[in-house]
Amino acid sequence: MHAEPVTPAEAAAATREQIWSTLTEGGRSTLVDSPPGAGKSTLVREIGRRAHRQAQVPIVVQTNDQADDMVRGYIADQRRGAAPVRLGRLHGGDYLPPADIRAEQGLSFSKSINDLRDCDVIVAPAAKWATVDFDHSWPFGIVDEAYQMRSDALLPIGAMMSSLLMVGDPGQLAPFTTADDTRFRGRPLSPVETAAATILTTQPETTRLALPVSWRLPSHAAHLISDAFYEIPFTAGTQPHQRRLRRGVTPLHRGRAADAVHTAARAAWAYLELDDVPMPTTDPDAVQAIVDVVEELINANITLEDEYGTRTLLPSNIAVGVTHRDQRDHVRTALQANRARTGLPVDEVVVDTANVLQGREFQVVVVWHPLSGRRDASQFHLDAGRLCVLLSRHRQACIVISRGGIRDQLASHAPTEPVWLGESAPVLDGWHAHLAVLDHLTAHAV
Amino acid sequence: MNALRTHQTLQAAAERRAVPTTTRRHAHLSSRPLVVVGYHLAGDPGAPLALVWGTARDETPHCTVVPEPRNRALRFEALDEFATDLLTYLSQFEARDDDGTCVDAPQLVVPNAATAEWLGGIVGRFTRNLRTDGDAPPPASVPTTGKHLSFFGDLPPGSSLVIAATEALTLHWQTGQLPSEDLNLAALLGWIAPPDGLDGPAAARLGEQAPPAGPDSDPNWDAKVLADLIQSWHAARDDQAAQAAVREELEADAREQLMPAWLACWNALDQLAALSAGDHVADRWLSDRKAWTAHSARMAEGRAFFRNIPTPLQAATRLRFLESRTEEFQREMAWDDPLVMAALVASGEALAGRVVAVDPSRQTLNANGRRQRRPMITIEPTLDFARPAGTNLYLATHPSVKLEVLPNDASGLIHAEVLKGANQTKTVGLLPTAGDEIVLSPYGRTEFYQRSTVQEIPWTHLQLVDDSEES
Repeated sequence: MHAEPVTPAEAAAATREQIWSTLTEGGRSTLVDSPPGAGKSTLVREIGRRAHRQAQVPIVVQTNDQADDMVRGYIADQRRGAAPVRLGRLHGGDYLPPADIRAEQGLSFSKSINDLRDCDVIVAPAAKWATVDFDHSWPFGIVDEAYQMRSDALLPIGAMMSSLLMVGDPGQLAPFTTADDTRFRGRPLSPVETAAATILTTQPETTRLALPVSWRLPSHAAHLISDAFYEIPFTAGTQPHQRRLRRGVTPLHRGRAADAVHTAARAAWAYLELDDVPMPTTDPDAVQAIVDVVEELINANITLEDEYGTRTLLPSNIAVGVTHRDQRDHVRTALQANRARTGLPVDEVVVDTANVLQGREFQVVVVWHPLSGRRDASQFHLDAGRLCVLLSRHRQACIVISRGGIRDQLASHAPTEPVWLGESAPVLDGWHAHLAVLDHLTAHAV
Repeated sequence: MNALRTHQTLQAAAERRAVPTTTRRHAHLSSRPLVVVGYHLAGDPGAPLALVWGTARDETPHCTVVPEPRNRALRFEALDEFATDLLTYLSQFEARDDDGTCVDAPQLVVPNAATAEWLGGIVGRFTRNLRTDGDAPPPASVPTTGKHLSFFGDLPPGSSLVIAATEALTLHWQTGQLPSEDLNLAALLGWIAPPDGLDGPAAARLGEQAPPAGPDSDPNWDAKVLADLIQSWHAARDDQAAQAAVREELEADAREQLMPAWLACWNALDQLAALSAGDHVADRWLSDRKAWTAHSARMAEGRAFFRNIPTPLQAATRLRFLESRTEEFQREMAWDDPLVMAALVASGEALAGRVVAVDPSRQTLNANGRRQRRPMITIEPTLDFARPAGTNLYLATHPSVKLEVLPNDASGLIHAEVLKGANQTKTVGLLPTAGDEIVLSPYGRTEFYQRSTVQEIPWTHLQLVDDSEES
């Protein structure tokens, strides 16, 4: 009998042991729900390291970037003294191995599974696994980001792997299709539902566990995100005093961007509200406000402190999260123009849509609110997953930029989406999540 | 809705006439279409009330009615009449070419998407599996037609096997009214081709006075005409001559209600025929012919089965197919039609401009330090182009040529280098020359990936249903 764990680290370790013992008991499917930054990738790597002693372990991720990150994680583990694993990175024809891992020892890249026979662990995106000849089979495989994976992508995985550990974040964006999916909605085992939902339907005896601690989110954020977006609550793994942003330069003139950075450094949140005007998706004032905040973040010469020590905030530690691809392009273009003018490396900041930022981590994130400047609150923009992804990428602070009037939009929102018979309602109500977040942000308005 | 479409809507409202949104026609038009219009009983889509169909506008179309729409025997009798004609029509498209593909394919034309959905989705679904050996057997033609209708009820985007007039017209024209108002074919045609002396809105109001195009009938007609006739039918229970008279009267009334929609379908085809077909229309029609050939072969071999609920494998394959067709249709329309492409330019996704310089022999060093040929073109953009360096674009006229936008300088010119498709001696000729007006679009050639086929439903998608729970 174990004693009740006391620290977050002990709680997390106890959950990992519980997951491993579930797997060794021989259940066919195990699903682990993980809040943002709860050590999902660490768990996948550790299970891979333990399980390969019985047989080669295939790891299924959703994108090439995630596969490369997984490989990088293994290499970092080994540098810290973990048992070495022979890694295989299976990839498609157009793929070029990134420069930083191309020449690593014990890591093989190949287009063909046959070249990777000697590897202990093979990492590839689901789309690549779908091209593997199904004569191959594995007794056990790991699926990462099971809530991002579409049910149809799980078909080839099921055809090759006879038991699965699926890990994912239930609060993130659900998969979607560009086609008219009317004929598939509300059907049992619809191809557009998540792989996790499929396995819960077909394998009712699936063991479902949850990781209890977010190591990424600071304590200021974990509570809000857990309340607004998650069924199973979680806590932050760090104490408030362990994370800190310190400005090196105090600005001579105070503008709203400077105030936002100042508030974010003090409270880990800042909310910069522009005038309440309906605007097209590529609202130029919002783009300018984002560029100003990014410029301020870089200009302020910020030092960050966390449980790993003290260092300078680099442009690549900052992300700008947006909703639409054309917003992304406009912000990137504006940042490139700003660099040409000021010489500041503002264009090294990562700018991307919520869909692409899923699963990634930054120190400071600047968020363009999904409802900013809209007249209506459509289902797409209300999606709780989209807001959750944008608000849960940061380790230190999050600055949200929006047009005013969101509360009115939410109040006057009439749902227009059809209700599909046979489809379970989303567990999370985007409308409530948005209100909870807005209440919180208003307290940090600049 | 993109900026150009918004502009066109406002323009149409101001000019009081629909504005073309395409310069080409993006649907195939058959030389012998079958136009079908019909009503079902109000509130009961499973109870057909009247159907009017025909293949020539100058001939009187066929009409059949169900004097008591709730009577199954009468329902199947009427459906048999339609089915016999439909099967005769479809049998004209059996001739194969040397590759085994049908030389031509049928084309059903209906007034609106709701009629297409009613015939293909509902009528097809409730007739396709009827047994002809039961207690009240329908004629054999009915389930056979149900299978054909089911085929026509599930087509991918870009298919022309079924033309729903309102959808085809709104693809090619923008009116100044609401999208929901465009669902009325007569009103839509009023905006596109108003009669002499009327403007679009006035013609649309006139169109709204016409009887509905189905599949729902006019409730006033239901109350004033249909209810009485159904009552007379029941009153004449034992009198065959009287029943025949009632049927005749209903047929005449139903025909009067449906004829405007039948004629409007032909009018819609005329409007579309005035446009010349886009370059990819023939390719898509070939896919349609192949789909028809496969369906016809399945019918001939008795293998045409339609599942109400597809298996996970079928659903996955179908969804992937629909996704690729949706995307291809969008791309092909943009490649074929400068006005469709203009919408992308207006939204900033595509770049239009004049080429000011071309450097076909430019070389750069790749990551491994090797020289590679990367021709560069410099463009003076027509509209502001606010996409960042690194954006991939493709020559609209040769989508195989892939370019990347380079960091811009203060000149306001856009520099783009060729990544592939025109960086070899034999392909470099595809590049434009200085002075050319060009468009770089976000649409490249679709890439195909070899996938392994899952043969059996794997354990992850196998749902064991406990029978005891069902009962």
